[in-house]
Amino acid sequence: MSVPSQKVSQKIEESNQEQKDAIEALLEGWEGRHEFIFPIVDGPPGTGKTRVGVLTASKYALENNKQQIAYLTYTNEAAEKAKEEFFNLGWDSKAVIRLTANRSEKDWEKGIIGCSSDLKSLTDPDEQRRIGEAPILISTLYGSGRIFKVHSHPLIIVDEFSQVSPSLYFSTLSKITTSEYNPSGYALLGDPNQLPVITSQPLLRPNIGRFVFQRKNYDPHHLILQYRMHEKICGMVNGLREALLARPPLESHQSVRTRTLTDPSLGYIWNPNKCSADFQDILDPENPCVVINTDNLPNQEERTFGKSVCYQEEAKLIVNIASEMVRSYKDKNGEPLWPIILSPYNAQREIIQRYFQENQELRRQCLTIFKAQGREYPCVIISFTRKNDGKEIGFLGETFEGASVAGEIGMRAQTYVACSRAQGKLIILLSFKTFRGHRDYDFLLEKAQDNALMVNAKFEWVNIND
Amino acid sequence: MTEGRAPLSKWSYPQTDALQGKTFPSGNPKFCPFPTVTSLLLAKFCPVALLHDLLHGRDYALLGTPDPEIKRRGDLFHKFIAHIKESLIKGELKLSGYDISQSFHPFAEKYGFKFNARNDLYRRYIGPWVERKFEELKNISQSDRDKLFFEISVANYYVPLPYKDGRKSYPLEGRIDEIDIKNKRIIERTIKGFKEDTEPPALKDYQTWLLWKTLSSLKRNQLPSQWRDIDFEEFELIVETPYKDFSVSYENPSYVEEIHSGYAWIHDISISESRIIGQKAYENRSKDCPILNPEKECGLIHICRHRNYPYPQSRPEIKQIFKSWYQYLLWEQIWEGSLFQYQLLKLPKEELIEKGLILEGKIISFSGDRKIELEINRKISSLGGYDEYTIIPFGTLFCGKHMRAKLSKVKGNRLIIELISEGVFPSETAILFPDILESSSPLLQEPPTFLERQTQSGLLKLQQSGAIKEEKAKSRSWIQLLEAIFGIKLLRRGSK
Repeated sequence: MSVPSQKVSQKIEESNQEQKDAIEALLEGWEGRHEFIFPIVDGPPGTGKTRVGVLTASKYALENNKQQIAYLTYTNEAAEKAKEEFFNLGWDSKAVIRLTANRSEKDWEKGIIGCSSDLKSLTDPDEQRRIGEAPILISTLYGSGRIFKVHSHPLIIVDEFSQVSPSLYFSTLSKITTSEYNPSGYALLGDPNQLPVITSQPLLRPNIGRFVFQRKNYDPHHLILQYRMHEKICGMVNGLREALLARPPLESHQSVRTRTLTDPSLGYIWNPNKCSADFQDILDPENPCVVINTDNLPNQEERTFGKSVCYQEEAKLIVNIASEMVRSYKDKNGEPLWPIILSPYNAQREIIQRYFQENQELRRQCLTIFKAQGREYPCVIISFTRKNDGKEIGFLGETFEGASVAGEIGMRAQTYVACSRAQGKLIILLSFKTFRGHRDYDFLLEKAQDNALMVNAKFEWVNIND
Repeated sequence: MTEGRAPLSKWSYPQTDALQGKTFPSGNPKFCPFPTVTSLLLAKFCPVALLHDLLHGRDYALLGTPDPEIKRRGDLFHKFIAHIKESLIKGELKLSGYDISQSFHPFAEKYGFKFNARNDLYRRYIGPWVERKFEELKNISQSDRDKLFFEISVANYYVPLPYKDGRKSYPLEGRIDEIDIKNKRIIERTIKGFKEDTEPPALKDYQTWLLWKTLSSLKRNQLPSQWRDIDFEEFELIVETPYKDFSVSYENPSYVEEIHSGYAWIHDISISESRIIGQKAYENRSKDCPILNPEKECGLIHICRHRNYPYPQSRPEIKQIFKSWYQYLLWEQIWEGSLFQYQLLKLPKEELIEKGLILEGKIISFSGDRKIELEINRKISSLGGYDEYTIIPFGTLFCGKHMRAKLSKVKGNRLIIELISEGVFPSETAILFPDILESSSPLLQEPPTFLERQTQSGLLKLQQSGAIKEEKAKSRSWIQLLEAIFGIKLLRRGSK
C-alpha cells in the first residue's frame, strides 16, 4: 500500500490559513466540551474545498489507527474526481477504493469496485477483506451502505453538499444507526451556490448546509482565495455571485491573477497563423474571456427525446472554434490543447460529440455542466444552447418565490458552475436576444463589458471548416 | 381486512396542462399517484400498510416478514417456471428422462442462492410444482411460441369498475405472471400457501381479479396486435401455488366493496393534506393486524410496534420535520413517475414522440447476446443521455413486455440496445416472428422514483432509532448530531 505521508504534510503546510483551519476542524472529531463539532466548509470554485477534504482524509488515515474514511459525494462523477485527487496525492488502489452499484465495473487496479449493496455479489471472501482493509472508501450517498458494511467507525466527509438535500443526508445517516456503528466525525464540504438539490418540492430545496445554517446560528469555514481562474474570468464569476447574492466576492491568488494559456504554468504555445483570421481574436490568449453572441446564426433551438434541447448551428460553430483551437495551440511536447466543451443540455452535448465523430479526443471533451462540477480545465467553451423568440431559457432562469426558500438558486447555478471551470480561457456562446432580461445573464453581460472580448458571430462561421 | 372508506366522487386525474408538460411541477400535484395493483392490495390489507408504502417507501406488509429473502424466493419461483416453459418452447429442453433439478441449481445460483438455500427451495416449492405440472409441461412445444407470455405489464387510464348500479373508472397498472392464450388462462403464481389449503392465499384472488380487470378493460387497439381478436373476458383466472391451483371467480361482491375504498385511501393519503389522515389510517387498521391478533402476520409489524427510545430527546422535532418530508417525497414521485405514466397512456403517440417522452423504432434484429437493433424512423438528434431505458419489444404502452435496456451504440438512425432485465427474456421468435412483430417498439426512460422511496425509508428508520440510556446516547455520535441539529445542544464548526 502506497502511503504518501510526506506529500500530505507538505501539502498541508502549503495550504492557506483558511484551508489549514478547516482541515484542523475536520480532524477535531465530534466531541466538544459542551457541544457537537460539525465542520461545514463553504468553498466557492477554485478555493480548494476538495483539497481540504482529501488532505483531511489522508491525514486522518495516516495518523489514526482505525483508518476509516467514508468520502461521500452526490454523483459518481464527483466520486471519481475525489478518487483521482487521492491518487494524485500518492495513494494507491489498495488504500482508496470507489464502490459503485454497477457490478460490471470492477477494476482493482483502478480502485473501482461495483457490487451489490450488501457486498454479497463479491463471492470471493478475499475481495470483501480487501475492501475492509482500504482506509479510504468513496461512494455516492445513495450507495454509501456498501461502505458502512465494512467501516463501522468512519469519519464521514460529504463533498459538494449543495446537491444534497437534508432528507437525503439524514436518510444516509440511517445506515449507521445500529449498535455496531459509531462514526468518529462528520463534515460537509461545498459551495451552497453551486449545483442545487433537484426536486419539484420547494421545501426540500435548501441543501443540508443551508438547512443547518437556517436552524442554528452557524458560521461555516469560508474559503475565498481562489487558485484557478484568470482574474478576468474571476471577474465574470464574481458577477454571477453578485447575481446569486453570494458574498463575499472571490479573490484571485497572485499565481493565477494574470495566468493565460501561454503562461509557463499552463504551458501552451499559440500559433495565430494556424487559425483562420476570423477566429484569431477569439483564440488569442491575451483575451482570456470571450463572449460570442449567436443572434446572427441561422435557425433556432430544437426539442429532442428526453425533453432536452439542442441548437445545431451553435453546435457547429463550437466545433469549428474547438477544431481551430486544437490546430493552433500546442503544449511544449507538441500535444494539442483540448478545450472542454460544456452545455447545460445533454442533447447539445451529444450533437457536438457527433460532429467530432472523427476525433475521439474531442468527443471525450464534451460534457454536461453537471459532469464538470468539481473539475477545472485550461480552456472551457460553453454553449448555452437556448435560442427562441419567446426568450425562454427554462431552468437556466429558474427563480423561486416565497420567503421560505429565499436564497435558493436552483438550476440557475449551472451558469455559475460552468464559467468557473476555466483556468486560462473561457469562451461563452449565447444568444443575447434570448438571454438578455434574465438576471444572471444581465449581470454576466455587464461584467463582460470590462472583462471579456464581445463578438457577434457571423453567419458564415458555421460552415468555415466544411 | 379493513373498514371501508367512503368512495371518492371521482378520481383526481392530472389536468390537460400538466399532461402536456405546461405546468411547472411544484408542491402538491393535486392529482393522485397512478395506482399499482400492489397499492390496492395494501389498501385492502390495512390502510396503515398503504400509508407506509406511500409515505415511507415500505411495501412489504404482504410478505409477512421484513426479510427480503422471501421476496427473492418468490421471484425465483416465478422466474424459474417461466424459464422452463420458455426453454420447452425454444426446443432447448426435452423432458423425457430429465431431472428438472439439474436445470434449477445453475439457474438459482445465477441469482445468488447458495447450495442449501437452493435445495430448500427445490424441496419446498419447485419440486412439488413440477410433480403436479409434469404432464402439462410435456405438452408445451415450439408451436406455443406465440401462446405463452410471461411478466406482461398491463396499465389502463380508465378501468371501469362496478359501483352500485353503475360504474366508476380509475387508473390501474400491474404485471401478470403468465398469460396462456391457448388454454385461455391468466395465472398468478405464489410461493405462499400450504398443501391442505382450500382457498387461495390471502388477497391472491383479488390480485388476479384486478389484473384481469385491467387487461380486459383495454380497447382492442391498445392490445398487442395479434391479441386484438381475443376476448380476455372469457379467460379463466388461476392462482397457482406450489401445491394447488385455485380458480378465481369473476364475481365477488367483496372485491367491489373494497376497491372503491382502496382508491379513496390512496387519494386521501397522497394529496388530501388532511392532518388526521394518519390517525384515521390507524383507527381503521386491519383486524388481522398482528398487534391486535398475534396469530396474524404482517411484514411491517416491527415498524408499527417500534420501540419508543427516550434518546434522542429531540425526536418530537425530528418527527415533525420528517413528517412533511415524507409527503414532499411522495409528491415528488407523483410529479416525476406518476405523471409520466399518465402521459404515456393518455397522450397520443405522436405527441409523446414530439415531446421527447418516447422513441419508436422497428426491431431489425435480436441476437442471442441480448442485443436488439432498432431502426428509428426519424432523425435521432439526441437520446437524452440516459443510461438505462425501458424497451417494449412486444406489445404496446398499455400491454406488453417491458424490459430494461442499455444503449450500447448509435449507428445513423439505428440503435443497438442491450437488454439488462433480470428474469425471463422472450424468445427470439417471440420478438421477431412476423405474426407478432409490432410495427414499432417504444423506447422510454422511466424516472428513478425508487430513489425517493429509498430516502423515505431511510428517514423513517432514523426517526425510529435511538438509545434507551443517556450514557449510551451520549457516546453515539449520530444521536448527538441529531440533538445538535434538531434540539438544544450547541453546534460548532470546530477549531477556531
